[in-house]
Amino acid sequence: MSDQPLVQMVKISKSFGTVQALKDVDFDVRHQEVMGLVGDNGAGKSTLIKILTGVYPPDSGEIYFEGKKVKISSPKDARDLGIETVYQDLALIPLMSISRNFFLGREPVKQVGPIRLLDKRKMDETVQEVLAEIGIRVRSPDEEVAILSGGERQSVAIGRAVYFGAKLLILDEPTSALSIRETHKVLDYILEAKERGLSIVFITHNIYHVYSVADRFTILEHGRKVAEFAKADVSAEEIIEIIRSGHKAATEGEERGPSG
Amino acid sequence: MRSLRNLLLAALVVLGLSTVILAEEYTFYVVSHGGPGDPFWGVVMKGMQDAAAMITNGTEDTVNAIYLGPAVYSLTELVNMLNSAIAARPDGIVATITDPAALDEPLRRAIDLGIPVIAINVPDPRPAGERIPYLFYVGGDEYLSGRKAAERMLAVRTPTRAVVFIHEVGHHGLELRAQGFMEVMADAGVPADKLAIGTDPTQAVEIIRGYFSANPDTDAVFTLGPIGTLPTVTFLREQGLVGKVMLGCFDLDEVTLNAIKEGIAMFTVTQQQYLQGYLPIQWLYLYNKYGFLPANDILTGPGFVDASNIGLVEQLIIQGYW
Amino acid sequence: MGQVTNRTGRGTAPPRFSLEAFLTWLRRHPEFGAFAGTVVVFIGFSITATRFLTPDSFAGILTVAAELGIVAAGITFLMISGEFDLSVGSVLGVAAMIFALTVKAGWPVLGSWAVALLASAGIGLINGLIVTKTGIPSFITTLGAMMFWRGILLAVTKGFPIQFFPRTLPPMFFALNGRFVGQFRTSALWFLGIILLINLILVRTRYGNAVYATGGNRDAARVLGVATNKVKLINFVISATLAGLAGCIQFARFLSIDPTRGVGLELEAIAAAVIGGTLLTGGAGNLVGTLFGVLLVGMVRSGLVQSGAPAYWYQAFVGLIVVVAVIVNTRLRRWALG
Repeated sequence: MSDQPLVQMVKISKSFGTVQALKDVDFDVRHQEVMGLVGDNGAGKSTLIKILTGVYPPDSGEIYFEGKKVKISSPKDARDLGIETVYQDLALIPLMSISRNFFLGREPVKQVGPIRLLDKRKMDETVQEVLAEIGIRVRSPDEEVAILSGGERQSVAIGRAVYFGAKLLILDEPTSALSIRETHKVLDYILEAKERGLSIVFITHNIYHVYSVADRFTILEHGRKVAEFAKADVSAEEIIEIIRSGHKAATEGEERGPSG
Repeated sequence: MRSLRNLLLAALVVLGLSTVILAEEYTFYVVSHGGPGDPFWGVVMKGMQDAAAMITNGTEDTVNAIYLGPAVYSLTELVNMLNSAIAARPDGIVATITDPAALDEPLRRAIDLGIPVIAINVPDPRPAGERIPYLFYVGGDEYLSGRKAAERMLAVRTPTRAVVFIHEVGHHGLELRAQGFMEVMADAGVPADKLAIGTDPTQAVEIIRGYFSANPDTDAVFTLGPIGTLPTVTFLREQGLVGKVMLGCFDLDEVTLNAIKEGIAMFTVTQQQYLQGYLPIQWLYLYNKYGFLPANDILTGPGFVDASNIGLVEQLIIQGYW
Repeated sequence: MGQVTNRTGRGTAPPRFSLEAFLTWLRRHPEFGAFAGTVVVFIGFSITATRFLTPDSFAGILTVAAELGIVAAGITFLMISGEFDLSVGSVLGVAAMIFALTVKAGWPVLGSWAVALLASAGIGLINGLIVTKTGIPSFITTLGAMMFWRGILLAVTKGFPIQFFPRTLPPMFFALNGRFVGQFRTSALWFLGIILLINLILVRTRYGNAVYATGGNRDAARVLGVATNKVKLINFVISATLAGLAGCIQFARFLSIDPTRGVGLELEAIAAAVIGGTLLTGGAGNLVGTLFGVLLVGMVRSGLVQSGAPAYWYQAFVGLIVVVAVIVNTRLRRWALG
């Protein structure tokens, strides 16, 4: 396992008009790790991620992916690099089947005369396998996504990213709307994905959820990075306290310092 | 000598002045429920324009005649246009009494303001004391037209079964035509129906087909306008029923014309709508200037066009008179 | 990894005929409601009208269904991608008028037809550009277009119909809407061909998937890389072009077109699509449903007349069917989703 991080964002700054959303933020994610990106509302988590996924460019700073400097000018660029995002409500389209959702934009086709038709068989078989791996049982992959629970939908979206070879998966509030049972299923699946070699950025307000699966945490506040911890060096309560009471507490935390 | 010259000069001045003073300008509005989309009203408009031009060019007076009609049939539009016309305080208004209840208030208001009103095309059916007190009516008699159409058919032979195709249900004038036709047929012992066919020709043909399928002994058809004539003629032609079914039409257009020429239609009823544009303008002028008034309504229809006069009429259609 | 079971607690079972299987099938086939309705109405009228079950009767129903259906097919495709087109009636009139005028002026018929279709496509393109570039809802945009193009039609024709009296019927006219067997017309072939083609595109191609996604959740689709604006633009063009085709087909039979032709068509077409299971909100539906919706509407009119019911009832009946169909389709969906 190389020491070089998978993704490295260096001194990223971004303003919108007079509002400074991010200032000199360093953010990195290593190979095969779960990074919890936390902070209160308005901290800049969403902006940081949008820059990483090509929704907008940074005002200054650089991004390195697998050691190479990259310029991510559009969501397509990000996807081409292997960065996939699962947004809370925008992951799957409820009226469409699981199969269609899974392959949306990347459908396998077979040539029939002059036109290319969807390879339904391949789509259904593949989805059937992935669902089995995730542990979701449905009558057929042709079922509407609407019959899946929230947790199942999250899992399918994650499974999709894994299948299509994502290297970095960004999860935006994946457990916020889920029941306890569902949450655990999704967290289990996140760890599965990590086992498969992915890195995951887990953005959330629920520290307890992310704490159970993350390896490291980055805390943002008012557009700056105020702390970064390995799990061993911090407790969930401490993270909550830092977010709640602000930078002062973070400084005190730094005095304790990372071990090793 | 001098006094004679002065006298002559004075006479000249008075004559000249009187010409100027006596030369009048009149503005008349024609407000109707028919606008673009129905060539029937194009002929009315021509009558109106011709009458105005004839007066303007033939006398010292000037007549401005303005036509107002909504693009798609709409009673509200009609009333709005009428109110606009009244607000302009013209020297006369010509109006179709398409809906007596809706037009009652505005027209009475106009009459109270001293604006003379002549009704055309559709009269107020109420009795003399109740109806809108317009000067008189110029137009066809819808009910009489229906009756005479039926009489014409019966004069040829008594049909086994007759049907009226109505393309705009609830249209008072069309309903009256249908009623007249059906009553005469019923009096002659002929079963007569009324069928609503709508305005889309494809759908109309299928409705007609359905009726004929359920009533295969039908051999007399009366349509109430070109919109009904088109699908009927198409149907008869496609089904080979030309000559077996007596067809009477209403109003004139190219399709109806050709149908008469080809012998598909026996006749068409006209209301000589040119006169509905022409006569009211003339009369408003005569009334305004000299106070003349006819003693009765002027019936411009029913008139009939059939194989006997189609040649003449065809020429005149092209020129816009029929 | 914990054990996961589906809703009913059963694992993946081998396919067998059961209520479960039927409900699953039902979920995938929203056109079932319209199909069932068509069968019911068919049986009903077969009883009340003796000549209903004749080839001529079927041909008549199909003829009406064909013209409405071609327009409804385009509108269905557009509605699934989340937009409306209320201008189809006016486009039908404009296209027919262009076809009529050019043919009368002596142009080769094929060229006239092409020009009429191109003009229709152009109107669709304008509609699509306004909706995608300015963000004005398609309902409003196409409502305006409906009035605008109808006005242009009236202004250009000055209200007079155009009639065409050729010495011999041009072969193209026969191809568009001629009688080829009994009362059956080639317009029915156009209709069925178009339904099949568009359904194929919708249900079996990448583009079709993009259409469903755009209508199902435009933002999610965009985030996943679907070019939603392009999809809508293309569908507006398709909707208008098909409306223009229907106008030419109608002219090819009647050889006469008046400027009020096509008024009210848009609502009938949308009604047919809705009866067939297409959602007003987009994202679901298919052309097979529209096929049954159009047949149902055609059958009702024909059946009522042949049964001797006053044809004044037709309008009320269709209105009733639309409401009933939506209720039935919604209930079926809910039942199928458990």
